[in-house]
Amino acid sequence: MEITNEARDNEMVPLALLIIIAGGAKPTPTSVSVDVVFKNVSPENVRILKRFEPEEDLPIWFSVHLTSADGTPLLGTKGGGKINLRGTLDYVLLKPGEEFSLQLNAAKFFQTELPEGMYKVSVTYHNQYGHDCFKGHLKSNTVTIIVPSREKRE
Amino acid sequence: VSAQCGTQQKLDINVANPNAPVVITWNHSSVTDQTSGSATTVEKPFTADYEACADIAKNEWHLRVKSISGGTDMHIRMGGFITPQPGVNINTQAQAVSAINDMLLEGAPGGPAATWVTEAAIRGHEQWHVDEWVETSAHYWPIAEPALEGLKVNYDANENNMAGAVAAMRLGASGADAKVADFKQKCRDYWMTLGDSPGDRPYRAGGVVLNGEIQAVRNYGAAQTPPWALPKGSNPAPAADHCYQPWLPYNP
Repeated sequence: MEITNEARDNEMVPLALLIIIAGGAKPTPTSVSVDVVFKNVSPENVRILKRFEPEEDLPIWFSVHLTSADGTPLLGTKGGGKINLRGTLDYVLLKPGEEFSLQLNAAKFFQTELPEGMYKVSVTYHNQYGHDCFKGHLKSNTVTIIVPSREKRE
Repeated sequence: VSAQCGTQQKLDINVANPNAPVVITWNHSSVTDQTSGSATTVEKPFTADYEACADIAKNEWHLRVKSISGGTDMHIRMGGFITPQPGVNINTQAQAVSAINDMLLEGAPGGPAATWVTEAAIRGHEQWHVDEWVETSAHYWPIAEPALEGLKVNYDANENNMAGAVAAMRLGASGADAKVADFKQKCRDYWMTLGDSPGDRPYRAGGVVLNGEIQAVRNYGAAQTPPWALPKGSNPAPAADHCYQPWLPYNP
């Protein structure tokens, strides 16, 4: 089943995207470990393109949004861009109710270290590549993190 | 204003800017190396520079965009590819057939080429993405700029302090930083609607570049005794327009 943006706008999205702050890992200005979970919420099988390595290519598939308490977004996100894929592509097949997860470092999606502060974090997945797989974008839930200053951590 | 000889009068005069539309300035970079992996074209963040215009009678500072810049970083990786060089690495009819058949895949739905590719062909593909990004941004920016310049704060909260007023107007979920982030996200969302699968326009843009190499191999084969029988055909050119999908709604 190839899901397009048009399908997304018609609320036929077969996947839910959830994020969880990875257990035991406290955020720092250079490391915010986030578990990203795809869940098939449809009654049919769904394929996801599995191209989550190398780590520096993750911004192709994910955007990370950090917003301070007053709603001001943190700018300076790294671009995701487009990729010239050649050769065989791998996929994950999710049956109804099944999940697939991976971990990403949200801090690495920004060009500089994260300033101290409280942030709301959310993630957007976007894909336009592959065959017979999910295409379009998914927006996650929002979680709150506190990034301490370097001095406070030391 | 009048002054007698020998006296000085200092006046601060606020003159509203004519507020001409600002055009995005671009800074594109490109690197080619011999590493293995996929070529990429990655957009840079937009960086906006602001000033504020005071309407003291209305007790308002208005945001004005002084400049906005964007760009892309292209990374071409040639590891694993072979650049066809008739007489150097193509010396037999079998090699010529294999190279031409591979290059004919570059713009085909069953492609792209797996081995015989030139740096110029991959650059042609990636440059198509650069052009997509520039044209996408050029479409949405004239919508974003008036929204940014509709922002205002009270003048007396930052009296004679333009920098403070600008800083205040950047903050918040409806502030300038949020609007710039939304602008970039909208550009990106649209960019992702433009096809980038085998046979789509970016691959065709690279494929037509390979047609020259295909002909060079044919010419080499035609000069052999007896002349080599080689595959016919060429890579089709892409349609001319980069932004061919319907524009996504954008109401900043």
